[in-house]
Amino acid sequence: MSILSVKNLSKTYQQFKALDNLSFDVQPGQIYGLLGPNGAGKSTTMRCLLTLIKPDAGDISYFSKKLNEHRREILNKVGYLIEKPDFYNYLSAYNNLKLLSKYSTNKIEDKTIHSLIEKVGLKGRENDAVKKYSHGMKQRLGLAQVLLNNPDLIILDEPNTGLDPQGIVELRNFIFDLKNEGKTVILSSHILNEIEQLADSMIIINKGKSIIQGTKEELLGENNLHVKIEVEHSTPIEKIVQNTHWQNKYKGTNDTTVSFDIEKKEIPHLVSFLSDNEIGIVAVSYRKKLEELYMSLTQISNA
Amino acid sequence: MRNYILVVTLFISSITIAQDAKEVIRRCNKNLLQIKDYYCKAHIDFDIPGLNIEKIDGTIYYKRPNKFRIKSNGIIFMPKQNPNQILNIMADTNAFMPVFIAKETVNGLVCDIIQMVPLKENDIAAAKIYIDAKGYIQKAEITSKENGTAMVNNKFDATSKYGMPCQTLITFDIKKFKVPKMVSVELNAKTTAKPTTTSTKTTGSIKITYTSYLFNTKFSDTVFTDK
Amino acid sequence: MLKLIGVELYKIYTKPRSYLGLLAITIIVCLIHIAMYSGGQEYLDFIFATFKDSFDVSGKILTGNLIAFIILQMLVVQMPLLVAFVTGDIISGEASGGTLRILAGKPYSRSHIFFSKFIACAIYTFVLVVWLGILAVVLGHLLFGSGDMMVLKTEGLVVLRDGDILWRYGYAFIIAFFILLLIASLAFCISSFAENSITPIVITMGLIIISTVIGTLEVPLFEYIKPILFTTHMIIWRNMFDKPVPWNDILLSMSIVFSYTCLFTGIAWFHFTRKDILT
Repeated sequence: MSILSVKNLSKTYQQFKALDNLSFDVQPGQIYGLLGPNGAGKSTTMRCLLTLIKPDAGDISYFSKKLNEHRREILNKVGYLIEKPDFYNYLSAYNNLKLLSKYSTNKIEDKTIHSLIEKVGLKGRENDAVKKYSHGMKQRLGLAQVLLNNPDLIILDEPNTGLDPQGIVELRNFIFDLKNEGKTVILSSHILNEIEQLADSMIIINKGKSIIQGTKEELLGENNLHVKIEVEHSTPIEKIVQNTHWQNKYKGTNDTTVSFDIEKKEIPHLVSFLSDNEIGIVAVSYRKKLEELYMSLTQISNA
Repeated sequence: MRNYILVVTLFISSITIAQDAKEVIRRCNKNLLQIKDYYCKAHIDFDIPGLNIEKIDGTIYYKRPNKFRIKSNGIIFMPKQNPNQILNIMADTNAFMPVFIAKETVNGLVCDIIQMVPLKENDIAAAKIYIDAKGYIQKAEITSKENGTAMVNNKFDATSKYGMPCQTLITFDIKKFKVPKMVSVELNAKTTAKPTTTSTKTTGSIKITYTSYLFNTKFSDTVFTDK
Repeated sequence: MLKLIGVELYKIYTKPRSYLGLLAITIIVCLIHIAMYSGGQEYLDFIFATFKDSFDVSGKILTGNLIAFIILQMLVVQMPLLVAFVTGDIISGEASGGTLRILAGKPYSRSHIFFSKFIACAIYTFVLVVWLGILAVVLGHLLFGSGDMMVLKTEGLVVLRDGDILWRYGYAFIIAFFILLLIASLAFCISSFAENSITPIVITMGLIIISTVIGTLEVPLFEYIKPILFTTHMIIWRNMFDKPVPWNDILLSMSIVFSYTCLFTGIAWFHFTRKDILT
């Protein structure tokens, strides 16, 4: 049973179709990645999930309950951070959390607030006004805010925007910790490497439509690797592979880099074949990158 | 010769009239001049167009020759021609020349009408005093240069002493008040208070009812100066 | 709901700009008190000159009651500005600050959030009015003492006796509260559409000024619309100092004020509960 189910979500702003029959499901305990270029509809999707934007059509269900019918019950189990972390700048971090805790229908104890402050590494600074905080500190506070009501599902929209490398690593670990605690995380990010490292499943959207979605295994699995082999000298590979079973898997040569689409287990055989034909191999890279998948799919979609 | 006789006749008759008027004034002052000072309770009713003010109680203080004050806990509007003016006119025999005009019945009493003609520069242009046989001023008409004419109607009862009335009704001319909106800050005013009296009236009146007169008690002058 | 109202009041309480209104009232009123204390008699002589020509006026004129009335009149323009300063910011300030998107995804409905904000605005407005009352009437009485009060009207003068005044102030402040609540609802309404703090304040004050100008100009064309201009009814509190009190006029004006308040609040609610939060 999925924790979140989105069916045929559509939203149009005047002439611009921000979401076009978008559907996806998120399984419990997953980190789910939402990918897409700017203006693809990621933020609109996230906002629809939180009732910040009213979709023109489609259904959103959490825990098998429709959002528009069980809004209060559902959102009490959801924590979220949409875009940049904004707070009441004239209040301290503690007072911000205290104030926002009042918007939960559950009673949130002071000790919970203090433990969250400690968890996100703001202990000692909790009484400072937020206006004195750096972006990174605000982001930490934003994460504490997300966890205020001990949510089952966490929605993070571009959480690593503006973070330094150390902050990005800390955020990654934080999200892994959430997963280890059994929470489900929906994550949108521009940083593909982050999604690739974090997400169990993902969806790539462009122009409000789903281009592809599935588990990481399905999308970035080893059955169809794009292998690049760097050779010592530029060589006419076409002739060598001609009339062999590699002929159909050969994808071309670019100076000293030769490309094949093969399965992972075939790599040693290909290397042997090339060596037998006296081609000096410098390096073999066989990892299929999300970036490549993303670029190829979005380019196709745009075309 | 005929003219000479006419002038002499007029001169003699004017002296006679003046002597009659002075006699009437003396009759009146016989009462008034006994008053060195007085104070009494006063109940004052106002009927002044453009001025919505409730009746008020106060105390009137007077001391010869011309100290006068109405003291109360609230605001009082009195016309410039207040009752004190009559006492001043009557007392200052050098400033006015009395001229007998006629007799007329006022409040059921036959009164001598004496015109007080100012002999020197004075704000009062003319004063017509109606004095009854007891020397009480039943009525007076005071015309001032600045403030028009005021009519004073007095009432007396059995307790009246020294010619002082138990009630005075002062009727006086009034200018129409018009306050600029910017001063009254009634910008955008949808409803404005209707004046309690009709705005077409050009005269106002004040009725003063006096009680508990106390004469010649030699009270301190401070009542005229304290706040 | 009470919890949310408490939260909104806490925000107002902790926000520095909320105190600017109270501070501005304090400074303005104290300045008027000082000015009146030092030169009030000359001012009153000027104001009441037309009456002093014809009458000898005796009794205490410069009283706490009169000073309070003068203060209320002088604050005809300032008070709406001070109210709009906070109420115009209460939604748009959160929109521009980004906190609205945090609130709008919380379990409480937007209607809950909306009305908690509106009620907090009403309470803030009430506090402003009460503070004004304390400074104008109470401080006025302490400085100038009690006494009769002369109320200047275009058509003349009303003198109210000392014992007949305080109850009028009570009603006048209640009326002033509802008038300012109308201003608050207007600013609140614009605030629900705007995404920055300044726009609602500027538009609210602009509407008040335009409406006041139209109401002041004695042009036949404007005579028809004057009765329905909300600013026409904004000084109805003055009628509490008429004698007799024109209750029918006051009730009519208050019903118009109340209708406008409901209209502006209704529009704001309709928009706020349906709008997409994109900030």
